[in-house]
Amino acid sequence: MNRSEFMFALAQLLADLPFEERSEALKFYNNYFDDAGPENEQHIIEELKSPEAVAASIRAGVDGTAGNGEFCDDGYHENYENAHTEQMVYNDGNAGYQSSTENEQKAGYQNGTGYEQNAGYQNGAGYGQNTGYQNSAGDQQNGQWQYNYDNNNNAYPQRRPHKKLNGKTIAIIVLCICAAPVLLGIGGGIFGAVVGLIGGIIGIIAGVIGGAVGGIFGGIFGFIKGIFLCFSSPSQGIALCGTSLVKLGLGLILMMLLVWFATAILPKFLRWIKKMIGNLSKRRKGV
Amino acid sequence: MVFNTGAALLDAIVLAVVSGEEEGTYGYKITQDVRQAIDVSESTLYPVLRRLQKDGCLTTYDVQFDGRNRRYYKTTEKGMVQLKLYKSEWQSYAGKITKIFEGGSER
Repeated sequence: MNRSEFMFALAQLLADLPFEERSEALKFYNNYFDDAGPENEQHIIEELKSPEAVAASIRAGVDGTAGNGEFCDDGYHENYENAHTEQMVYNDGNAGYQSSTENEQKAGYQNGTGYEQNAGYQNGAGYGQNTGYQNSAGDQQNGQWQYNYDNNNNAYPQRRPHKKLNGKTIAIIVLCICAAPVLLGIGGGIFGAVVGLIGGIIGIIAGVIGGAVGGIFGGIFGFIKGIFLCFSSPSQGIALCGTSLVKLGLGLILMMLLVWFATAILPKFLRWIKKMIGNLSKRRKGV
Repeated sequence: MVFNTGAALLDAIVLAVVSGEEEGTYGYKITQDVRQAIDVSESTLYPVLRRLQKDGCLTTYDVQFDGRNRRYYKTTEKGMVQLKLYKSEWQSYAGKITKIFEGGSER
């Protein structure tokens, strides 16, 4: 590997970092190679070990996990230097991160005990009794997890030594266990809200359809009736014709509204739903 | 043998090396100088420099050199204060340990 290959690989590995961090780091190492001179190029590449190792060190610096190292006989070593750099798989970018978060998610939901014990709680919250409070917390939680994923979409997995079972991991697992009933409640609440919302929308649509149909048919029949009435009682007949025409007009307007809705809004709405489902299943399956 | 001293000592060493130059020094030279004192991987120092810069202990400026911009690091007031703190901490710490070692060998 030569310098430009090395730097190119490094640049790609840093693609998901904030712009400033990435450009500062690349500037530094480009300067480094320049100052060392072409005669030292291979030596430096050996010393740097690999683009992955350098990317890991930069990332640790950004995360704030750099500086957790030890002075040993053979010098100072950072903790992240022990990370398995041979595991790097570029395509499967999110492996490291996703599996841990997925485990956390599973821990939360799988907790059979939580589920059974709190059946009552779940039912209570099922129909959105606590919607206001829980939904916002739920959204925040979901938002947080989403944030982590969005940032890592293309990438190089986060190279932190978080695969060790340290206190932090245990704390997270305990937190998920304790949060399970709340999460289920929140899930129930969100479900209830969604069902309610869909019901409301269906209701409105049904109402508009009813109004359109009623208006049109009512208007037509009323108009015909009105004409017949004109023979017996002209004033009443004309009045009835008039009101029927108004009904007909309103019915037609509602119908136009429905048509516009069906052709313009509905496809967009369906596409949005598909996207949401797509996002959800992406989260679960970890694609 | 392992003396778990970690980040602070490394920061102190880097600050000391940079403060040694009135006008500041650049990445490659800093790395070479530090490596004369302790054995560190060449990729260890960038995060340290970056952190010190973000903490306001170092400041950077670019100098045109050979058709490119060479980035120089320089200690700030805050950096010098921090370094002084580190030095006195080190003296106190090293002194105590030396005392124990020397006291022990007298038995």
